[in-house]
Amino acid sequence: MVRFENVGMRYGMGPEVLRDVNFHLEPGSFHFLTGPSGAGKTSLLKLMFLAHRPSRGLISMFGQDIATTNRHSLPALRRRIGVVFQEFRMLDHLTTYENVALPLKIAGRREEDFRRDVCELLEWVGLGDRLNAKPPTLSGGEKQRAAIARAVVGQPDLLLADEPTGNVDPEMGRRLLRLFVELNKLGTSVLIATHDHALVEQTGAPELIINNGELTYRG
Amino acid sequence: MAEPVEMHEAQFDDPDEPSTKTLGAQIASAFRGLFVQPSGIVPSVGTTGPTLVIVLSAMCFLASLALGAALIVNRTTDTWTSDLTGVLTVQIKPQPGIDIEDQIEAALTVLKSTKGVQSAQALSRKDTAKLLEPWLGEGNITQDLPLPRLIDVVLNSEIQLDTAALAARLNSVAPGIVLDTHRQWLEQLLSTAQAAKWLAFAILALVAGTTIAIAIFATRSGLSANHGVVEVLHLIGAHDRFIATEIQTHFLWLGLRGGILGFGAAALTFLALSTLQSTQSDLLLPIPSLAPWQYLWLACVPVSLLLTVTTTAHVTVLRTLGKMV
Repeated sequence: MVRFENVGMRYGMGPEVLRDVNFHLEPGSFHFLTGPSGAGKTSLLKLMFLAHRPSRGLISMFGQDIATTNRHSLPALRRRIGVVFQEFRMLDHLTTYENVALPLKIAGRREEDFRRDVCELLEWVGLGDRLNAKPPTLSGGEKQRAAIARAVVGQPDLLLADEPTGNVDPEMGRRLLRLFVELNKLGTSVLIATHDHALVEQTGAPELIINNGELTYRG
Repeated sequence: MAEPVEMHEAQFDDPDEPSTKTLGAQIASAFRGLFVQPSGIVPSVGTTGPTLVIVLSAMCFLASLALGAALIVNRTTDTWTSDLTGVLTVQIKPQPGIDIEDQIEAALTVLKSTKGVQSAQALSRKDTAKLLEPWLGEGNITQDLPLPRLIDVVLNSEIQLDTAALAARLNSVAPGIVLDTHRQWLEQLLSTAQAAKWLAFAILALVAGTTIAIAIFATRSGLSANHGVVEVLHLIGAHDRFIATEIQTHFLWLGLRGGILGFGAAALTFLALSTLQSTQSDLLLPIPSLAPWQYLWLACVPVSLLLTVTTTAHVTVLRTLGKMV
């Protein structure tokens, strides 16, 4: 599903932030991405959600070589990926409901067809009473849950989450992790970048450990 | 799972509910609806605002004035051409030893036998004297004052007349004849009018170019202000066309508002000129005005503005997004 071979990445003319990264994520797999701050976790995720191109090496997503994939074909690949951004990146002028429904709207689905699903999902993440609230009025934890709901609403083939439980209490963290696990059981590959070792230990899932731009595998 | 909350319907009127609004209130509501922009996925920050609407309405107003001026010039020159190309004036100067009435008779004979001449009517000495009265004063024209005499000639528009040959023939039968085709000053008038028309078109082109530049600038500024939103849309799988259409919709509303305001102001200006013309009949120069059907041409300006602004915004967004990964 996702294959990285000797991938290197740098921003502009700066030093390489990722060096010789090699790994393979199987369909339906569940992994954590760990490492200290500034080690390159977010950069690696950026490559995976196709926000950046590698400086070198081969990246294959869903069987397609990214280097040779036409720019116009990238949106179709991106729709197969759900992303929880570290800074949430909710659209402040839209309501929580509209934010969560956005991937479905972009995919061309009609609101009558997805309204019930979106509302159910928002209930599940504890935002059932905040449907019409706009992100600036939400707390950090609420924004994070809304961001997770937006990432999973389209039942993506691959879910990438950057510190998805960083702003919620332990109970909500366990609840969200259960959501990821359930999604994984339905066939979605999940990769969660986190500092929270308790979260890793709860699932016992394998870890991709990144340190100083280099990746190692554990588990 | 809890019962899903039904959303958004509350803000719309129930279509089954009989409306209690008066007709005036309904029309006012519909008019207001024209100016209420539906909320889009891309926020309006940086792309819309009263300033841009004012600029676009000014552009539409100027373009409408320029087009209106071109239409008025066109209409006026058509009138001049049709009025003056169908007539000739034959001027007969008194010659020593020749009776001017004989000259008139000979000229009329030639004119009436010429193909392309529909009618020829000589002005009597009395009529000619009347023409001079404004300059010489009534009763100051004595019988012995040699007056040139005039013949009004109406031409058949379907037959081409060789005026040079006609002048030569007239001169051969009655010396001292001048054939005035009005062509010289008509040509001067027409070339001046043509220059005015090109000037109006040049202003139109300038306004169109400026409008395109404004739309490009506003789109880029809007994209820059909403970079974060555009990036999120991009990363969750929106096609460039989807984003471009969203931003284009903003400009559609902008162009609609600016177009209606600018066109309204221009139409009112021309209507005011028209009213002035009908009430002030003693003015030295006639006030130009548009024919009713020419307002339809004027209505093309806001439509063109709308197309220009939306197309420019669409293309600018696609070009900018094309530089993203």
